[in-house]
Amino acid sequence: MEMVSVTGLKKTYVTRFGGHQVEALKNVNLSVEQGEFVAIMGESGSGKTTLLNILAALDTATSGSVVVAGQDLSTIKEKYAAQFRRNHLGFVFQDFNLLDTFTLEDNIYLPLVLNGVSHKEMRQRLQPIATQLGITELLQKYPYEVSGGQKQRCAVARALITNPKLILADEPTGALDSKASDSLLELFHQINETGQTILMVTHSVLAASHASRMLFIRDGEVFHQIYRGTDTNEQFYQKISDTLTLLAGGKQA
Amino acid sequence: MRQGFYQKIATTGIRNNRKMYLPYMCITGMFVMIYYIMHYLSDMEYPAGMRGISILRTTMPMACEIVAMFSLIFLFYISTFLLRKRSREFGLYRILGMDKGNLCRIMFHEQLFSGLISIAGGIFCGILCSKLAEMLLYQMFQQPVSYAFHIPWTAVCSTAAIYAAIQLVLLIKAMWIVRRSNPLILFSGSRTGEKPPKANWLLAIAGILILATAYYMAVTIENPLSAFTKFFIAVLLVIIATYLLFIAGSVAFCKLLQKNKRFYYHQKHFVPVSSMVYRMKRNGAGLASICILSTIVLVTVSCISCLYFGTEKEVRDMYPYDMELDLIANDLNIPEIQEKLETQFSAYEDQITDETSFFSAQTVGVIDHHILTIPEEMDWTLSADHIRAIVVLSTEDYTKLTGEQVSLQPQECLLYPSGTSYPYDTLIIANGATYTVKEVLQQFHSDFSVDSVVAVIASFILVVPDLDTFCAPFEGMESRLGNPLVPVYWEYAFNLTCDHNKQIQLSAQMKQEIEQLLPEDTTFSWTSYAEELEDSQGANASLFFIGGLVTLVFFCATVLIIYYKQISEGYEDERNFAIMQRIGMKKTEIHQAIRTQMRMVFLLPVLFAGIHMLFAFGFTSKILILFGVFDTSYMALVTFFSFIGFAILYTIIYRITTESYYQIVSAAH
Repeated sequence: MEMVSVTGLKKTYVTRFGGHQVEALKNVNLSVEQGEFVAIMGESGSGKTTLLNILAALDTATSGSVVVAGQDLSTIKEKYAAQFRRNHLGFVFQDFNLLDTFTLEDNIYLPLVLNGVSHKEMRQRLQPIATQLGITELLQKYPYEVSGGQKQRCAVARALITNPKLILADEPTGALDSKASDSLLELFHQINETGQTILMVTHSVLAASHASRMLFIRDGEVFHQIYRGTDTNEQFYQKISDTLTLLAGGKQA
Repeated sequence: MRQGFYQKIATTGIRNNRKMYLPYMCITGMFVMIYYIMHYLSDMEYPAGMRGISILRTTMPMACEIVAMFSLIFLFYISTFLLRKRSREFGLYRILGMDKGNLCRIMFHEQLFSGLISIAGGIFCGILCSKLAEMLLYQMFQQPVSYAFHIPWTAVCSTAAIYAAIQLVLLIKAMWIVRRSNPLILFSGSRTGEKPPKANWLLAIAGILILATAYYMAVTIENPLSAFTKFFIAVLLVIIATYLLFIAGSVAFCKLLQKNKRFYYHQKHFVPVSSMVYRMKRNGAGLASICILSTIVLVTVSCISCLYFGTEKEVRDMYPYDMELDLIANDLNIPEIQEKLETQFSAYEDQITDETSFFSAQTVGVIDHHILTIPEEMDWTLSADHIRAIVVLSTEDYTKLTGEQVSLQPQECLLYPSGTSYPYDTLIIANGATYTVKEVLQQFHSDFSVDSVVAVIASFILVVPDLDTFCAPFEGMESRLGNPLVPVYWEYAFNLTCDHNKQIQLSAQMKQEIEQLLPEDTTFSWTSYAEELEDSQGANASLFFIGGLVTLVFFCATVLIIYYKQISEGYEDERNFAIMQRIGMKKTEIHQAIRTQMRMVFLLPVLFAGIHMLFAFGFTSKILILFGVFDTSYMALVTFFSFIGFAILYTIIYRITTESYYQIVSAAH
């Protein structure tokens, strides 16, 4: 089953002064199958985040069709967009986006509370996830009391607890040290093994090398893609860096 | 660096922070304006026809000082707030290579710029509005308005001087803060997260106990004259308790809510309750201030309105007849005087109606169970429970006044306890007669003018068979003031059919005639209802006017605090709501969460102000009795409507400021 299907996606912004038009996405075509772990790479300003925002129904496309988990996002109303996000998508952000006013446990519960799930059921759902992510001991702490890696694990738990169809990750390792990055990516790998679809935006080659497929975006278009095939992480890493070098070289020529 | 450079940075600084500075400058201008108007009115020459304006003349300078003092305190508080908001900006300047001296120069130019604009603007508006205020005042005194326009330079200069001085104080403070600013603040991580506030149960419980004590004190106050210090203590306690409850009590309450899992993990409560804990910790003091300011505004407004709108009734209660003559009759031949008076006033026969006269002995005594002592020297430090105002009437005059028939044996009396009770069968007058109390009256209906003091301290009205017998033992004894110890008053009163202006003219004429007709050096009091009414109306209008202006100042201050609270909350919550939207909170849900929080946070102070006012009512109503307002249900009504009016105004302001909060919060997405 196709989890994400994007065809002919275009997004133009009008700058606030002078009505100057900026084309963030020119013509993006992309599809993600259920159970895939796809990484999207690209330099700053290449349109990665715009794409992610559109996939998350936080932003709307100028033209083209976007279907996520069977829902056509170009026609969705704001009211249902929030519900759609809550029920079908899970988010992991670079800066964790945990609320300082909640304990980690309450942060994880937030989407469930919004859905009106009872406290008892929330606890039942959290328990296996917390064990899997190794955060059971931290649940009563506040975000300011724990490390970046721990915060990100908690954010992952928040993304998982609604059993989403798709997890969207925006530079999840961007604010983590290398050790925490490694263990987070390993975690993503494990989650993906259980059948969870993940779409991750990053510009870290290391992060991308954990994915099963890598897309490269440049100037608002999907420029290139590489499949992992049967490669190990190291081999895939090598492949990605070679391609990047090639692309950079090609640009100069 | 060139001079123009600092000015430019200063003006840009103000312009970039206009959301903060504009209201600040407006409120300063408003204070300047009100101060100028008050000064203008107190310096003005008023026509002699404005009775009661002297009250305005004497109290206005004091009100001016209050406004100036309040301006200083309030602007000082607000400027802290403004500067805190800009600490990052100062940090940046420091990193860009400015030293503290440079920053101070920028602050100087900013203060100069904002100060000049607000003082000049305030005085300008003041000059424009002063005439308006003057016309309003004349209107209230029902006097013709003159349209001449003038600008008293003394008022302009002193207003400018006072507010310039306040600006100087603010500048010194700003410089001090800038000197302490640390450029590192820029690097110290954008959001480190705040420790969750701990519930301080000790303080919360202390707050409840103190509030209960204060309320108990306020409610149990019997005599406002002797209990003024007690009331003052109660007010202080209420202020302390309000701060404790808002700062510690609110956090503790939220923690309690969080402990209740079923309540807490609910769509509608989850977000508001958890952020409320932080919000109350940061804003408890501010909200407590709003609460106390609101209470002051409410109590002032309701008291002044009571006085102003009830003037006619108050004066009528005090002076049931249009004209009243009171004499101490002990050494006078009253029948002769009465005959002379009646002959003299027969000239006005066609205008005089309802003529009446009666005797009453009036004194002050100390009661101990059923023994009443009339001391030559009253010890006013005694507990109010023991002091009684005594009014003695003969059966004859009692019937005349109330229309009720009674017959008493020589040793019998009727007793009407007002503001107290009397559980005994007998009444022993020390050094005097002993009476059997035939009946303790429950009501006393009459036109008999109740002296305001009688209404304040507990009193006995005694009806005895013969007034002379009652007074005989005290014959020749004198009080410290040289009056008879038990003076017998003779009151001669009548109504007039002519209008008030005519009555005032007649009153002066009659007074002269009475003076000539009475034996020389007789002290007497001659009151005209019409005159008293005009005096009271003038005095109450003055109070109403001053009170209105001072209230306006307090109210504006409340508004500004609310505005700043909303704005700063908005900036703090901006990020949180952006996160919640990403996680899948609908915009409507976000708005609802905001509304719940806002409502709880901002309605709390008004609610408490209302409760405070309710408990203060017992005391304020007794104070109002001193000013001649006797009708408690009328007071309650006015108080109630003051509260409703205030609540409506408050809600409007809350709505408007919530709007600017929404703008900030939704700017994020």
